[in-house]
Amino acid sequence: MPGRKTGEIGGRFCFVTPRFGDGVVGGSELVMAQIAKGLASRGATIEVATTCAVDHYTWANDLPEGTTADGALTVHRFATERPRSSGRFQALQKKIHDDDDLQPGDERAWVEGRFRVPGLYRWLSSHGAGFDAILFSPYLFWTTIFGAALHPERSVIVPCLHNEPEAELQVVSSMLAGSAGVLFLSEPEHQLGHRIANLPARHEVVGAAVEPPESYDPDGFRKRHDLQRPFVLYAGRREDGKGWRALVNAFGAAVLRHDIPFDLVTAGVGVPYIPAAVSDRVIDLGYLSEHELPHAFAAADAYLQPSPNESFSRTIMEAWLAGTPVVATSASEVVTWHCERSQGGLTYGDSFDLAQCLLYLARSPRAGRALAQRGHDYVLANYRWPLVIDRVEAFLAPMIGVRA
Amino acid sequence: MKYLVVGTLPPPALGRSAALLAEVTRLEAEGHEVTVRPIGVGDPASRLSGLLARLGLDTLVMLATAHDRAETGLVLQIEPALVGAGAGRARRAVLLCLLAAALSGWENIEVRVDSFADLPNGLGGRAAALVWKRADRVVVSSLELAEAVAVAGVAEVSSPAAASSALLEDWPPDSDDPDLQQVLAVVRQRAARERERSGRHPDDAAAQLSADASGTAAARSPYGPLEPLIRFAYERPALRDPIRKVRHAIRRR
Repeated sequence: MPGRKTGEIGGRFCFVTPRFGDGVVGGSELVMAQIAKGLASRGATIEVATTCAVDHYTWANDLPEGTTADGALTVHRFATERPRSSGRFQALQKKIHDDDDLQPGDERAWVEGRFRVPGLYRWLSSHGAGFDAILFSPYLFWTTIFGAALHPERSVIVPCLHNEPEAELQVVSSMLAGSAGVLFLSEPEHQLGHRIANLPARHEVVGAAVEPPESYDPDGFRKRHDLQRPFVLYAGRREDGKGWRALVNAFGAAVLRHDIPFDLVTAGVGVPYIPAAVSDRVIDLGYLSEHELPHAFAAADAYLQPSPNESFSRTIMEAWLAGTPVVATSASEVVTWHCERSQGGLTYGDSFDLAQCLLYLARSPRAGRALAQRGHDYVLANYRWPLVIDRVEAFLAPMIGVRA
Repeated sequence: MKYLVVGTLPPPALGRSAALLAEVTRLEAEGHEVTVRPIGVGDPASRLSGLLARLGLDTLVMLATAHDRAETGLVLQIEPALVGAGAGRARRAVLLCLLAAALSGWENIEVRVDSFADLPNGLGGRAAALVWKRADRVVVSSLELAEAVAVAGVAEVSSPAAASSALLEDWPPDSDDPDLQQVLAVVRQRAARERERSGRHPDDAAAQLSADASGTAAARSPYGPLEPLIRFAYERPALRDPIRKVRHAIRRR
């Protein structure tokens, strides 16, 4: 919109995400929530269409259906439906990962195999034209793939792409190509988008951001959780897809081979696999609240990021903000990109690299703090919410006023 | 000087065969005349040779009957076929005693040991100690092996692993302005050396975990048949915290 200044966007936007609200663990959900709140604080009218689910394993309807207010946001919740058997979904998932040929309809069946939200679809069908733009995230869920096709001229995808077989499905490339715009969180994700789809003319790297807490309490955290030895931290979903198994095995090999002074402390959801040989060196704290987690980052001697599937990697930003050095897998283009740009993170390829990174940090505490400081400066220079909201606002501004 | 090297060269490029090849290359580069004799491989033209190899006697006979023993340096690589890969305790003891006797005429003996598994039933025992005592020096691949062999009273035990502790000096100094590229270069260099060294011990626990971390092993549930039950309980917020607290209490106890 010509003449419009940042900070006074106005407009009416809908955010569609499979989960929303307190207790939801997930990077894309957090990004969507923060962007929605940021735009609302600048005068936009924001509505959120989501499911009643909190748990991304079960997709059970833990929250009531209906419309509620969450601060300045209006939140519409719709019940999920799940297939009685997950057998077909699992079989298709295996075919996708094995790069087997898929039959016509297999991709759609796979998307429908996790959960469906027909109520949300109907609501979006009848109300979608009243929004200036509808933002969908992340890329591989029913809500995004089917929802974005309803009003493609106003659908903006925040895909949070991962370099994984699912990203190469036809339904994903069609969705991206047919949308009005795409917002990426990092440059490697943008490049991946170009590799898998003909992106629409309007696409932009807007990034994401993290909110620094008011203060850190590393000593209190250690005391509350009875952590007496130095430790390195992994916070996130303890799943193979997020690199947990690879990490704990690599850490185990490292501590068996070397005199490494750190334990591995982990927090998050999922059943953590812990090898028996190093069970006394791995400590599971389970789910930590958003208020407690920053203290964990501050108390750690290093933060380990093992996930190859990242579109932004919020946790390494949180670690850097807390003054904690980062050791990240080189299997992720995104985290490697952040580490190289900031000159603040070590990267590892396997258990041998990881062991040497940990040995280096153990014997070089000053250097570790200096690396963390570089990361801290990098986050503040690039990934603060006002900067990100400015970019999103500039992207959405031309779409305001074209609604029916 | 002449050297007789007894051991199997690559292929396959196992840790010990690769290390032995490096030793042969080093000796030749120094201008020595090197002859290599494999272990457990009989001469196909001779029935007697094949029989001796099957009995694990080929090396013993060759060592006992070699000429110029006083003028030739001997490098003996310990490997399973030396006394027969499946040798029982009695046969092992007899063959090791015979091996010690066969070494008696040699003046300059280097014995190389790459892993505990390279000698059936391990490196210990009185019979094995006779072999270690015959050696002028024993070259081992790890500090654990060095300790095990040193107990037997070997005059000189050298270990590349012990030398590698000097690698610590490779690290850049701890500073407030670290050069990330330099640090990562040292990390990669040290990791490469460690990787090469660990290839000699493919069966230890750390190697197994490394293989699992690289995704080369099939992912197995650590909870066996209870996996679905545990996952069901753990994935429910109402149950997750109580379970975690019980596990925490058990761990503390």
